[in-house]
Amino acid sequence: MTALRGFPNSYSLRDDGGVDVLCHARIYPAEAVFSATYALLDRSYVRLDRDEDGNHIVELHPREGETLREVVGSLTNELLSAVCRTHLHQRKEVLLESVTLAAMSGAVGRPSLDDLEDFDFSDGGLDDPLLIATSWEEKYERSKALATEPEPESDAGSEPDEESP
Amino acid sequence: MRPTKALVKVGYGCNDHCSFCHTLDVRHIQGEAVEVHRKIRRAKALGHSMVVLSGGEPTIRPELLAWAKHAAALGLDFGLVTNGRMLSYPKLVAALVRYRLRYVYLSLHGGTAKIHNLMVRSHAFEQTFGAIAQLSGRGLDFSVNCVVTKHNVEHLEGVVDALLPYPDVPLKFSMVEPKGGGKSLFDHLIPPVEHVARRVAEAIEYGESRTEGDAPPRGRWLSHGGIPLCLMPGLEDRFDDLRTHGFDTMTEIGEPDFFPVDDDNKIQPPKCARCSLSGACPGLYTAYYERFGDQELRPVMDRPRSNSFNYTLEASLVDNGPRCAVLTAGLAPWEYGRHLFVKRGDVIERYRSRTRDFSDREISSVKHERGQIYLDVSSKAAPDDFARDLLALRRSSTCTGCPEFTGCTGLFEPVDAPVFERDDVRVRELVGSLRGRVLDVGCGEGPYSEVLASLVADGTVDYVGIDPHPERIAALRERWPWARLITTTAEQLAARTSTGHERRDDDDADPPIGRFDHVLVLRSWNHLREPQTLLQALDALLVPGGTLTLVDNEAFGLARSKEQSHRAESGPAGFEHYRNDGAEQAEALVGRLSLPLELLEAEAVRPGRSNQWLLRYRWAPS
Repeated sequence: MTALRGFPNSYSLRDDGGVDVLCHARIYPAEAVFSATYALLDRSYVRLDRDEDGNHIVELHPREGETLREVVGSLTNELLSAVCRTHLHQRKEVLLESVTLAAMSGAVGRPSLDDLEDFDFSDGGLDDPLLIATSWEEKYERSKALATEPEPESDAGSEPDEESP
Repeated sequence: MRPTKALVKVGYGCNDHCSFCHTLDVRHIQGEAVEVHRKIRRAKALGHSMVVLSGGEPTIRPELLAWAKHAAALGLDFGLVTNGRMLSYPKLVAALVRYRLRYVYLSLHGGTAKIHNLMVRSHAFEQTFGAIAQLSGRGLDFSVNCVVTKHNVEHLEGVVDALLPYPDVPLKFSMVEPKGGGKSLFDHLIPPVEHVARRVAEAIEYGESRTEGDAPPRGRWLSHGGIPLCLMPGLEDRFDDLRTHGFDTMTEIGEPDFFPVDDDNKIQPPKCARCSLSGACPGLYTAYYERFGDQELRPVMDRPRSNSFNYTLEASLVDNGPRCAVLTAGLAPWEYGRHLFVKRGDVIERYRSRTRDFSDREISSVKHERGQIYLDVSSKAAPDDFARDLLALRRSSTCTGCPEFTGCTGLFEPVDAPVFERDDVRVRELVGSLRGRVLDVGCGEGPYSEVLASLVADGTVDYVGIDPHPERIAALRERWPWARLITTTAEQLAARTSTGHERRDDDDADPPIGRFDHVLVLRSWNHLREPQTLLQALDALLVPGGTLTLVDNEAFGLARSKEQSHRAESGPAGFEHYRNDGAEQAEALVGRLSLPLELLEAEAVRPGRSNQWLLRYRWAPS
């Protein structure tokens, strides 16, 4: 196979008229390759494979009326676009999951009578004289607040200071 | 009986603030008390025997005792995944034990206050360590987990020392996962896994030496998790994870149901594809692999592995129809590969495979892609007559057209189709058509006896068989006096033929074996340590135009009763396969070696066929 003129060596012309595009797995995650090639399904026939090192190989054959160079050029642009979108998604994933999770928690709905029937409301909670069962954030906020308040005349309390994050 | 645990996350708030916290970004979310309450009931309905609460930190929830009480009222045991600080209160521990507290998995990341507090960013050590004293000696299933980051990797022996006074407390070292805080502070926290493996192995060795001679013996109290098994030579069986702790399902806050525990956060890179340890190996955390690649991995290729696994009967339900019983039970809790629903008349049997000889991915492939699952209808420890002992299982017609077809674990039915005899007919034909000199690699117990005997008798075939097991060769010599049989491995044979110096062993008083018209590798390909060695010797073994026939079996799963599984798993049979190649993998290896082999015939394994594949080549040197 020979390189496709005007493109890097990772674009190889196939004997059957198609082209193999090698996408390095460390640069192009599988999701980006799927996404980019999906966008070209109406213009080309696509087959995906991997080499021994786990890199992706996109085999492209233009559909009738399409030129190889145009389809390959479009794939190149789509790949970059898909990689950007994948990175963006990864950065926002936690936020998206967090919002979705909160929405789903709400969507589970209010407890039914069945749920409430055998729930024990009489238990008064935990006996916690050392205030261990206080969330770190709550305790840290309290420590911060205490630190900014004027020094009290009496002993300010026995809670250990928490280290800041 | 081993408890089956359901893990329920109650929220993500915590009184510690570990730098590597998985749920760093959602710490503000706490689950509704009633949601947890409802899920405890669902755990009971799914047949679990224990519900384990996790978070965040479940013990800071004021509802803790109410949840424990609710679980106990339903007949469930109770467990906690915890930093343990609240369990330093003796009264709380006593109350929880009254509500059937049976399991505690406690996090301790340093053997001193300085290291532990640095890791959890709180003054927590005295309380967490105090909890160990409260929990030890109560007969609980209680273990300590130490997450290994850059901060404590050089101080693991200190954790071992801290636990020496508690002989009933096992300790596990876990590679930190690049998730949540671990991901945000990747460079700050994540050490090279090879370095973690070395330090963990040293800590295990140190702990063993400190407790050697303890009475009663402390046993194998040190384990590891999240570390590829190839980096823990000699300690592979100390691997520990949610499954080894008996967790079957889990549910996060906001999730509508329980889901199977899985390894989706980890990856076995392509390099691991033929590793003998891949079944139970956790591989690498995906985010770690994305950053560092696979250069630290050392796949192990020379150990035998299993070629079958069991699905053991767990429960039977009556099929009331017309609605699918699997859909009615809810799809979420059932594992795609490891669960198996089999419809037998009006009853639907639920089986599950807990094997660690195969990964989830391999099991799913055997079940769904290759279609190689069978109902064992024999009473033998190991079926030896597949045609009589096994019934093939096929996806039920109930599933046809179901919108959940691809994601569902599926409903299967036994079919009385002679798949094994049918697929072997072609092999029998090929053996019957042989002419000239034949080398049978791995002749073993001598199949196709009646076909070969007559060919040798009338002079059509000159047969040479090799097998590495002297006792098999001796037995076969009695049955096949007409055959020339040699005790050797294919690799030894290849070595001596390809160097041109055929050596005579004491056992091998025959003249050099020369070249052959046909080389047969019948159900022995996966028994070869190095099949490439045999292939590379073909130019010295085959005449031009000669043929190479490869036939072997892929891995398969057997649906069995508890008694059948127990009998098989406690039997003496050892592993003999070095891999579970199908036709595709064997063909790929032949292709990689660029040998002058022309493919004549290929039959791969697929649903509707048996687990036997076939490849036939002609040796065509230019």
